[in-house]
Amino acid sequence: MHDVLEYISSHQSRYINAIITHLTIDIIALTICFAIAIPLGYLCAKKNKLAIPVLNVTNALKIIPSVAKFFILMPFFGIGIVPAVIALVILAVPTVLINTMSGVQGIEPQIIESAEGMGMSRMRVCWFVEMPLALPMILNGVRMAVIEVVAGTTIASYIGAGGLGDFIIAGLSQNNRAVMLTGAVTVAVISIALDIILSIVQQRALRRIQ
Amino acid sequence: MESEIAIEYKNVTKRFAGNQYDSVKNVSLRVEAGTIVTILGTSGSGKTTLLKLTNRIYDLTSGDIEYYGQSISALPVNEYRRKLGYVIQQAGLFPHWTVAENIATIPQMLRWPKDKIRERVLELMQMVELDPDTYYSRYPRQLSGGQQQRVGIARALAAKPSVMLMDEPFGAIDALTRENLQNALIKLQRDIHNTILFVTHDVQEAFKLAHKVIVMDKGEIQQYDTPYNIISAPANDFVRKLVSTGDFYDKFRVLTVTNLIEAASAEEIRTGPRISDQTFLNDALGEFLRRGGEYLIVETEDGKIRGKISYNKIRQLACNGVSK
Repeated sequence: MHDVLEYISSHQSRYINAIITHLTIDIIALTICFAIAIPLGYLCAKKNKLAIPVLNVTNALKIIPSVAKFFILMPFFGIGIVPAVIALVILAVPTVLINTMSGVQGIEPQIIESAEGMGMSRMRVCWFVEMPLALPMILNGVRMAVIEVVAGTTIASYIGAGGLGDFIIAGLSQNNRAVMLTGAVTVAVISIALDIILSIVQQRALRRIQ
Repeated sequence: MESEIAIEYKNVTKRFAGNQYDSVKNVSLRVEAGTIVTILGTSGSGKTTLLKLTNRIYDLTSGDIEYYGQSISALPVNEYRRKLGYVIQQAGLFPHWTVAENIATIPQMLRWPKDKIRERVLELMQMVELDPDTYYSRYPRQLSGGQQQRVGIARALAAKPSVMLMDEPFGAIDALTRENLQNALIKLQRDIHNTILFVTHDVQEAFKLAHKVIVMDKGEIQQYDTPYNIISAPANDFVRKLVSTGDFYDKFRVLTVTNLIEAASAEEIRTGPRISDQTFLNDALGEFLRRGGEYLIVETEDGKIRGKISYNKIRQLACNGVSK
């Protein structure tokens, strides 16, 4: 551990840049993922006809191992951040989508019926009733997706996306434990910290509706 | 006296996709403004379907429904629904909103000013007998089933709807609380004179609340009349069977003295004991048993004399009228 700290202090700017790159990739991938998965999950909950094909596709995508996803995309998108983000989006979408869907489906039908019966528009029901009530489940998906993406970005280093995975790869190839652990421990710390924060947010959302 | 018609059904038929039968079959009737009309039937009778056609949760297969003379299919659906109160079983309250926020749902949508909403919420909470100091900021989960349903009623009444639709609102509530809610609803309707369409499978409840009862079976109207007329002259075997369960005393609990009023002499009015014209027959009978005597003077809430009710009339009704 002492070696790790020494390595970090002597390579400060490289270390900080790697963290920034890593998190930037995560934020971009997660933003795109939520923008796709939450609306699509909502629509799937509402329209059975849509749900079956969408679930088939997402299940198929989930079966492909993470590492394989990155390399499958290489011939189409080359190397760097773009294929990494695409692969991470594909990785995380099913989790958020399925959780959103079951969150919306789990709302008591009487609540929706009385909302509509009182003359709330579809948009209003969605925004003021369904989304808040599905939020704990959606956050559950978000929480899992965040962990998947933060971990997945480490693998993205293999296709030249940069980030903390670079230390792990370098450490492995140079047989340098300190360098490898720099990457691994940092990723682990970030993951655990984010998970704790999100679980608190999720608990709050849950407490509001129970 | 011809009163205003709030809702009129004209040859209303509903057949759901894939069904070989009509869930509601050729229903034509008028609901007078300012009355409580209950829709009574077993499950599958089409009673809830008829209600949900009224607020356009279901679309008509054929026929038409008019709201104060306007075809409801011509009205913008959400604006139309906001003019109706809607209360369903288990209230359907929003669990993430406080009692006050739930009650304010429709005023909020109509963009009333904040203080007007607050004032209205407080007024409604008084109306449904929920103490604002205690319950204003509570969440639905912190309330009992009966209290939740009071909030449901207050929410439905918020924007002063001329018509309130209630779909088995007291179905999941224990007998004692249900009776309290029924009495509260009767009192409330007498105060604000709105029109209520109330679906129930409970014969007692249907007859107790209603000015008029719609008896439905297999999607068709079996009889549409006052509780007294239905009980004393059932239109067919189905209705006869429905109202012949229980003894005469069950009927006395749901019929008021109104139908048995006779003219009273000045002497009788001067000396006779008074009862309200909203008194149920069982209570009137109790009064006779307690006091003795031959008659009671019937007066309205505001003290106008309507006539007398005699012990003999009640006895006659018990012997033949209702129990046949």
